[in-house]
Amino acid sequence: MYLASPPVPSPSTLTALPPLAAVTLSRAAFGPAPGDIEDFNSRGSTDMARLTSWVDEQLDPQSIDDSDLEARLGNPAFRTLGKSLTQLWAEHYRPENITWEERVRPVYEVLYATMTRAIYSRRQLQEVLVDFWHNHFNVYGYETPNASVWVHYDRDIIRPHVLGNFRQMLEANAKSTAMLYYLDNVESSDEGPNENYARELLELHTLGAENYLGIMPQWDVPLDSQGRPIGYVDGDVLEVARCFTGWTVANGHWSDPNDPDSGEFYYRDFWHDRFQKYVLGEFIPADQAALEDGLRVLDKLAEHPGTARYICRKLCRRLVSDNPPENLVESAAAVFHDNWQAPDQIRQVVRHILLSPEFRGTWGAKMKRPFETLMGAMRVCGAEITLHPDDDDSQSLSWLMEKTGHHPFAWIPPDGFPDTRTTWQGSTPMIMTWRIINWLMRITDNSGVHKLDVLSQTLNAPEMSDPANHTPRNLARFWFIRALGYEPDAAQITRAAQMLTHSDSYDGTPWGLDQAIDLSRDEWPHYWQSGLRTLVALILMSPDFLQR
Amino acid sequence: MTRMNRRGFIKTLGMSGLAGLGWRNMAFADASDTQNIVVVIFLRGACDFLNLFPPVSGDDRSLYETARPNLHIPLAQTLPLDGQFGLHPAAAPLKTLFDNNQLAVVRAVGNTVQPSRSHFDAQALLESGTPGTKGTSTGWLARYFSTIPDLPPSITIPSVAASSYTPTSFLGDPAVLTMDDPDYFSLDNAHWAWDGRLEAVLPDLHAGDSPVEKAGSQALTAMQIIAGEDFSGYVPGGGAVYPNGYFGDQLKMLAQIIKMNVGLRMGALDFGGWDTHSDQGNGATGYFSDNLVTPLANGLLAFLTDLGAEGNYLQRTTVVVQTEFGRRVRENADYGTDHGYGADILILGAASQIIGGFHGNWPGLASTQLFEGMDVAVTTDFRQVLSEILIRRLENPYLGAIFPGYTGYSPLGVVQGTDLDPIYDNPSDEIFSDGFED
Repeated sequence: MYLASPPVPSPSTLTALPPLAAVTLSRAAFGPAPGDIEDFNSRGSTDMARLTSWVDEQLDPQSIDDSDLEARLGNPAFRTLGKSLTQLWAEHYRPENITWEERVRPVYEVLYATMTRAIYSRRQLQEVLVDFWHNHFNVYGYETPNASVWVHYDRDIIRPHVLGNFRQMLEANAKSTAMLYYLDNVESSDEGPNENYARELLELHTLGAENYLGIMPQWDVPLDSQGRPIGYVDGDVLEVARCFTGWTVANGHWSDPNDPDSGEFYYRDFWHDRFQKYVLGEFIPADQAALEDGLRVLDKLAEHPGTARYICRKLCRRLVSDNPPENLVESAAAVFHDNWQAPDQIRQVVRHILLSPEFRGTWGAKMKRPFETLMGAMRVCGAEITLHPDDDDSQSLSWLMEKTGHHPFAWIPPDGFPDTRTTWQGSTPMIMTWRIINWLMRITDNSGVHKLDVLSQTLNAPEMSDPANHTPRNLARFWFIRALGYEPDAAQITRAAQMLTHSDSYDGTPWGLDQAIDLSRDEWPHYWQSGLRTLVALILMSPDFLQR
Repeated sequence: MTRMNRRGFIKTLGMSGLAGLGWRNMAFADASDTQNIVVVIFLRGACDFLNLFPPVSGDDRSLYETARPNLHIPLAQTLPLDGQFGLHPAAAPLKTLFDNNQLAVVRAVGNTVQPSRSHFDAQALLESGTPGTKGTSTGWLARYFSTIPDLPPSITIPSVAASSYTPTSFLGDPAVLTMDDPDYFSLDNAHWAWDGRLEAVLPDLHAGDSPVEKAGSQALTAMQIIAGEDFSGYVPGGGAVYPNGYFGDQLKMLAQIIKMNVGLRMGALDFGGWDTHSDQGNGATGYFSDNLVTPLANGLLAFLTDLGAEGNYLQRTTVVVQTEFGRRVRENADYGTDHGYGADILILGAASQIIGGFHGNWPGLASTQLFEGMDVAVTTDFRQVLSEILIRRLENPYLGAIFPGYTGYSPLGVVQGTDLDPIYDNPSDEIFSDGFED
């Protein structure tokens, strides 16, 4: 049944380093939408000039007109995205007589708004970074109360800071309803301190496990040249936990008659451990002003060079390669550390990474994750798709994406979705992603028009205006260029074009690779229009499209 | 598309480097397979073993009732086992297995190197098999395969993770099949008339040797193997009835893959939801009883019954049930239990292969006996139990490669088998790189 001696695989024909437009739009965006490659290439006379122009525009997202996206998000089905935290709390979490659907409505609206933005926003880099920071400060979104207040977490905690200052972002996060619940700090008091948040604050949000020195007395940790401990130990976790006791949510706690039950951040002074603490080499005296010792911890963490290296390594992993070059990590970390109090700190760091030779010179060292593949597929096909919680196709897409393992806000542990190939090269993420691509090619609107209308996209393209050009080879080349932003190896085009030489219902003489097909028809035995859709699906399943 | 062997395929692509290290080849396996199989079930969220096997006598009984005034399992409801510990009333199928010598329970097991009460840490430390080192990029099941690089070509599915993505224990195993729903393990189609053509041509596009092309080939090969099986029409043997829900479905799928004779060696399966911080229920009612213990016990009995109904499948299969840590002895104010330390490992299989009953040193529940005065202590390193399975059931003594840094192994005596001298050498780092990064 199976071959005893498997064939030796051919050497890869994947292009070594594609044009910079394709590199940039695949890694700093969710892939090229129609016109994006041309726009990038019109931005100057050299690669560096074009890249600089594109990056600087993207780093100033407010300068980019996004009215098409805003119109889409104006769909009346999005009825919670404008609610304040206290409204979300009062209307979606507190009531006892509402349905589960209404309780979790906010997270599903953010889910579909996130997809809509990934597909349609022209502020693509911002959306890539929102995804990055959501994963960095991962919270599982589909349990209450976090599902009910998710609009607040996305809109007010993550988004305002993605190009701003890390220290401010960290404080917003430490005070966020979602994180306080997710990592149990909401319950943490001097009588019953909970170390969950403190541990992840050090291990995942700031210094990273790479700066964890394990079980060692705090005073034995070596100091760097500036007198900082080089990393943290278990004792620091417990002391940090004490610093954050009393940082909680106004949730109507029975012990506190003053608690307004608003769902907002709330400092409960009588839960705070008032005595002195020893954190990362520094004594924090007893009886600090309200919040003061927690804020002091955030300062120390945000300033620490270990935090700079850890965050920058993750950013480089997202934007460049699974194993980013150490010199790029170090130079980005220097920018991060030197500007730790600058309001545009993260913007400077991202600019440094995107304009680096490593960004321009690296290709194929990452595999797209399912979300990136699928949003990119809709972008390159010029999809006309309306996503919101009341739409059947949207619900199907969400359900199918769960099966890829990469459904936004659905990663349960606090470390966020893995960002390396080892997790995503498994059979299930691959096959489910491909299955969804086929599904996307099938779905139609109420008048029967395909939501990914690749037929019109083909017929309306100037280079495809002559029906004589509609050969399998030309169609494959056209769609490869659309999908990738460059022309791949001719052999790969030929392999894909072979698909159209037979349909399953046609067993006559094989159709020629250079023989025009009739795209005005979709009937037995050739079903050419469906054949074109399947060809585009095939190209979106190709290794060329799956790497970045 | 030409069919090809997954493990052999990977090997051709550069995983064959170990052959030169002189490691032994594994015996051949095909439809007349006699090689053993290990299925690792991970109870994610930390199982409350204290309520699964409550103490029924001695000081520990009164200490248990005192620590859990609301949550303890009443004696009248507890199923008798050995006089020292009883069984949760919803776990009656486990009593059948216990009495049949098909269940061994090692008490007070855990991570002795780096105790952690963080789910995320504790799971990663256990599943990586490096309990003192975080961030290990490979899992212990993956490293098991790296010690047997020359699997014969007839083995098409040596490893399965019954999950939607690869668990840490399998990280770095390039051949692991991650699948949780065979009914959806196919491409479907964009249009019926082109379905077959797309599937015929897609492998050609992924025929190259880059990592993404190899991943694509892998997925397509796996899909072909799975497509040949009728998963939805499967009738379990011996009248076995799997519980409804994810856990039962995954167990049933693994049983079918075992019976496909595709050379399965290692299966991993997740059962989540054990983090019972509040309202876990007591006795024979409530969340812990209905949603967790009932499907666990029914599922395990169904799995062993199904495998035992024909052939030698049950004799070849050993089931290991583990969790990241136990739960706090004292109940909390929310009628639940918080994160603890010492847990149990369950070993199940054929009566002829299991040394049934309770094993390990039970440390006791007195406050001076508890870890940090709060949790069941750990008296057995989890690697000792897993090493015994590796040596006695899988005839694999490469403990240094699978559990780097672990020494001093001696068998507890939970399964039958031949003892081999452990090999603690840790070969070149080459095998620890993940499979596609060659």
